[in-house]
Parts: sequence; structure tokens; C-alpha cells
Amino acid sequence: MSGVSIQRISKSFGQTRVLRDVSLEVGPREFLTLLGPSGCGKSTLLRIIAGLEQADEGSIALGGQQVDGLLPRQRDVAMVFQSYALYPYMTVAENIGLPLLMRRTRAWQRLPLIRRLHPVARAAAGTIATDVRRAAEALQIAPYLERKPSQLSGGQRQRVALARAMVRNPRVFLMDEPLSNLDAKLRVSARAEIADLHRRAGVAFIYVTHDQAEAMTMSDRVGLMMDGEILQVAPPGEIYDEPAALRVAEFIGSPKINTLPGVVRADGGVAVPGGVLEGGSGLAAGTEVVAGIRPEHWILGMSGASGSLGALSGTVRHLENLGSDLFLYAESQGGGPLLTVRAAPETVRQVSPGTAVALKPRPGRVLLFDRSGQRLRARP
Amino acid sequence: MNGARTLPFAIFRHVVLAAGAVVMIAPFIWLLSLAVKPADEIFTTDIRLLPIRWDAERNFTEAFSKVPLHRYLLNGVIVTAAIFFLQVLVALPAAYALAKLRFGLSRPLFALVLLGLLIPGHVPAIPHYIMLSSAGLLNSYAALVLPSIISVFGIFWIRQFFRTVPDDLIHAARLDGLSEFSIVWRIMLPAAIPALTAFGILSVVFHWNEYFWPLLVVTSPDMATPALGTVYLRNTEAGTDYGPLMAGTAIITAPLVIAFLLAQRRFIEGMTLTGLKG
Repeated sequence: MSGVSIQRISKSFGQTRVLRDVSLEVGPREFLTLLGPSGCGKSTLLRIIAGLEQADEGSIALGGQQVDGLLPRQRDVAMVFQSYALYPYMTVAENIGLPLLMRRTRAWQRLPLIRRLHPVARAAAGTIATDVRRAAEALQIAPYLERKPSQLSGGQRQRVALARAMVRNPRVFLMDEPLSNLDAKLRVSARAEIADLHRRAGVAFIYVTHDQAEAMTMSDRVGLMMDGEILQVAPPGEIYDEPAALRVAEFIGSPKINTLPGVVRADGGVAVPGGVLEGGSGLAAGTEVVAGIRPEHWILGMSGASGSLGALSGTVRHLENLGSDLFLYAESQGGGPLLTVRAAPETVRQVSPGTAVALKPRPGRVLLFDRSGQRLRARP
Repeated sequence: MNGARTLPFAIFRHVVLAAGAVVMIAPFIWLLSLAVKPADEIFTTDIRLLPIRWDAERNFTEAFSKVPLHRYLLNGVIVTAAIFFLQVLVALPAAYALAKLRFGLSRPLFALVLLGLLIPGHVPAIPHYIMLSSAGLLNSYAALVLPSIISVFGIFWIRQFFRTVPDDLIHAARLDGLSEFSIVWRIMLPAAIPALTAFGILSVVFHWNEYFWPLLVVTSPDMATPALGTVYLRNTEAGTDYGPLMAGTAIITAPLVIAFLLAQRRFIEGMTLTGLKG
């Protein structure tokens, strides 16, 4: 039992409420990502867990122990910062060893002369050096132990920060956008490294990011935060396929999900501008809804024949060929914003701007939300 | 920029600077010149820089024998070093608290520090004197050092520097198990070395040359600081003997000049840093 239990945390800075009544349970070996746009309160929540900020209300337990009154150093959590926060005047070895030095020696044993002469202090220095080397080797930074952080590349600094966090075997790892200062290529390989570190450490990770690719690739569960609230906590696949709210559906997925205002008909269809979609069965006729269809959930028809049931007809306005994917931007006959459609790259031979197309959602892939943005579950 | 315009300007600029430099340096040249001349050459009507007969050895031995010059120099080193050490001991934690900790009295306390910057050093001289007198500490190192150990300028100057240290560094240190005092000495002190160097230069120069305060609290020559020492030298019978007097003055000025020559770049950096921000 070494999970994290967050109970009804609220926090305001002046007049601004950054966290509203946030509750969250993280399992003992779970990798949970807090995903959200900047300013949604995810970093503040992380800092509250670490004890660097005080919550106005609510309480936090780590491994079953209430930690609300405890100082950061008493909580036994490790944190990796976006800026890495390495101590610039210490070598890599000193950076990684500092948390061990502070824990394994007493203040008087760290005094300049005693540090070298006292047997206990010297023994501690020996075990610290061993542990530092082991952590450095695990992250392949052992050759740089005697360098200063300023002599390292961004990726190496980031590993030093990871090593400093893992060296003391904390009960929780907190990561505040640790990859966002890396270039895109390095970020992909660092994702695998962090996932590997999580497997080896065997403790709870709470990872904060605004990058949905990081959230989707590394996490056991993703908590989506907006405006100081957690909107949904679910495994990556579920949060993508079954978003609990329109804001979740719109934040996750790239390109963004298509949304169409509509009204449920008596036959279970959903009337949207330019056509009727399937998927509204079980809802009361006349319910005003927003229909969401992800770009890859369209079936692209070339006929252009308008009026076929369940399909929208439109005209291609713009193409984006990424090689692996082809994105069409089509204008529906019903008007509204352009619809985004993901199609196989081969389709490029058949369409060009001006081509008439028929767009039909895959069965069961229309997500319906009420006008306040809450998910509506249609019953078949 | 073309050469035709810049060359005359460069010449003009250097002529002006050279003239300024001559005005500044002339008294020191004259001082050195007198320090190596015999007495009968000092009061002649013709101006010559180098003496006809060198008398440096007599002037300098005379200076050391009339008054305990080495004692003044030692006092100067002890007092300036103690003041700087204690100033740092006080200013670093204070600056850290004012720059990085959030507490209720933070703003009013910083306002007091700024207010302290506005008060001339001579204003608290009498209260300080009375306090030291009633504590029986007059005419001691304590009397020379204690009133200067809280430097509001130092607190302000280091606080401004600490504001540029990222908060995450302090957060990381707290998580790594450092107490607030450990953070000050282990994390903030190394980061503040450039600011401390600049401040140290200002502090040492000021207290080495300080004349007013030692004059008030020091009565025995044993305790005299270098600046006060020159006055004792003048008051002895050597006072009318300008050769040894100038030799003594040269010796007292020398440490700062030598320090300047050795660390010229840091000196200038320190001075310009303060000029911009202080």
C-alpha cells in the first residue's frame, strides 16, 4: 500500500480558484498522468502533493499516511522539474548524491573537516558513492559524474534529474513536464526511458503534461484536468473512445474531433445540418445534442450522391498528406465548420479540392453530448 | 561608421580620458615622488618627479619606526575581514527570506530595508557610540566591527540577486531533504558568488578607508585602522617630516591598489554591477 489518496483539495491564489474540490486515487504501482492545458491547475496539484504549496482545503495521504502537516522532505516523494533544477555549482555526482547525503548523515557529520575524518561520515560517503554510481549507470550517465550540469546536453541533464529522483527510492515520483524542454526526437526516446524507470521502481508515478502523446503512451490512467477540476480519469484508450464530456473529447485527439449541433428524432436518428446521423436511439425525441465524430471514424464515399441515409454530403476544400495519413477538410452541405476526415493515403488519387464526397460515421462511433457538454449514452 | 569620422573622435576621446586620468593620478604620483625624496629636496621651487638623491630607504624605515604601521595594516585586515564575514553571515539568510519566503511581514520588512538605505551612515553614529560605551566596548575590535555587521545595502543587493534564482531550484532542495538554512549555505551561497564578490569589494574598500568611525571609537594607536594610522603618523614628530609621512601613506594605500591590479576585471565588474542596479 503506497498509493496516493487525494481528498477534496481546493486552492486559490488571491481571487483565482486554481483547484476546485479535486479528489483522486492513485494505485501503489500506477502511472497516472494529469493532462490538461496550461493553467488548469495540474502543476499546482503536483506541488501540493509534494508539500511545496499548501492546500486551502482537503487532505492528502501517501501510502496510507496523512501528510498534510509534513514538510516536503518528510514526505519521501521525489520530483523531476521541467527546468531539471540541477544545482549548477555541484558536479553530477554531487547532484545525485545530495538527497542521500541529507538523509544518511547528521548535520555535524557534514561539516567540512569531520566529513573527511569521522568514520561514520566516511562510511556514509562510501555507500552514497556506490548508490550514485548505480543510479548513473542505470541511466547511462556514469561517464559524466564529474562534470557540471552546464557541460551537459539537455537530454543528459534530464537523466541527471531522473537519477537524483530515483536514487533514494521514494514512495512516490512526481514529474512536472520533464520532457517539454527536449527536442521532439529526444522526447520520444525519453518516454520509453521513463516508462522503463516506472517498471523498475515499482511505485506510484504522477506525471503532469500538456502533451497528449506523452499521456497516451506512458500512462496506466490519464486524468484530464481543466479549469481546476478533474473531468475524467480513465485508461488512455477509454478516455479517447468514451470521453465523459465534450471538453474531454475536444482536448484529446489530433486533429480535433468534429462536432455538429443536432436534434434527436423519433426514429433514433440525429438530425444535423446537412443530413441525419445514426446513434440517437434510446434518447427522447427532440433532445438537443452535440454529435462528435472523430476524423478516423468517417467512412468516405466517392458517390457524392446526396440523401443516402446516415450520410452527409460535402465538397473537399483542402488536403493534407502526411504520408502515413491523409486528412481531408470537407465543407458540409449543411454549412458549419469544415469537417476533418482521416483517410488512407491512397485516396489522394481519387480526391482533390472540389471533389464531392459522402461522409458516413462508422456504426456506433457517434458520440452524443447534451448542450451543456455532458456525455449522453444512447441505449440500443 | 567610417574611419575618417571615427579616428579624430577616438583621438579626442582618448585626450579627454587621459587628461582626466592625469588629474586623478597626479596626487598619487606626487605622493610616491615625495616618498623617495630626501627632506631637503621636498621644499624646492623646481618641480621634479625623480629625486637627485634617492632617500626611499630612510623614509620607509622612518615611517615604520615612528608608528606601528604593520599594526595598522594588521588591524585593517582583521577589521575589514571580520566585517565582511559577519555582513555575509547576516545578509545571506536575510536576503533569502526576503527574496524567496512568503510570510506576513515580508513586505514591511523589505520596506524597512529600503528605508535603511536612505539613512546616512553618520546618523546612528552617536547612538552606536553610546551603546558601545555603556557596554564597555570602546577602543576594541568589537567597537570597530559591530556597528557595520548589518549592511542594509548588502541585504538589498543580495536579495535582488536571489530573486533571479529559479524557485524550482529551492523546491528541489526542499524535496532533497535540505532545511531552509542548508538551502542558504549549500544552494544559495554558491549561486551568489558573483554578487558577493561585488559586495565584498565595496565593503572592503569602504571599511579599509573608513576614517570617521574609527576616529570616534579608537583612542589607542594599538587599535588604529590604516586610515586613522596616517593621522597618527602626521601627529608624531614625523608630521613635519614629509618624506616618511608620504612613505607611510603609500604603504597604507598599497594593499587596495595591489588587490585592484590583481583582480582588475572582477573589480570593474563589481563596480559596474552596483552602478547599474544599486
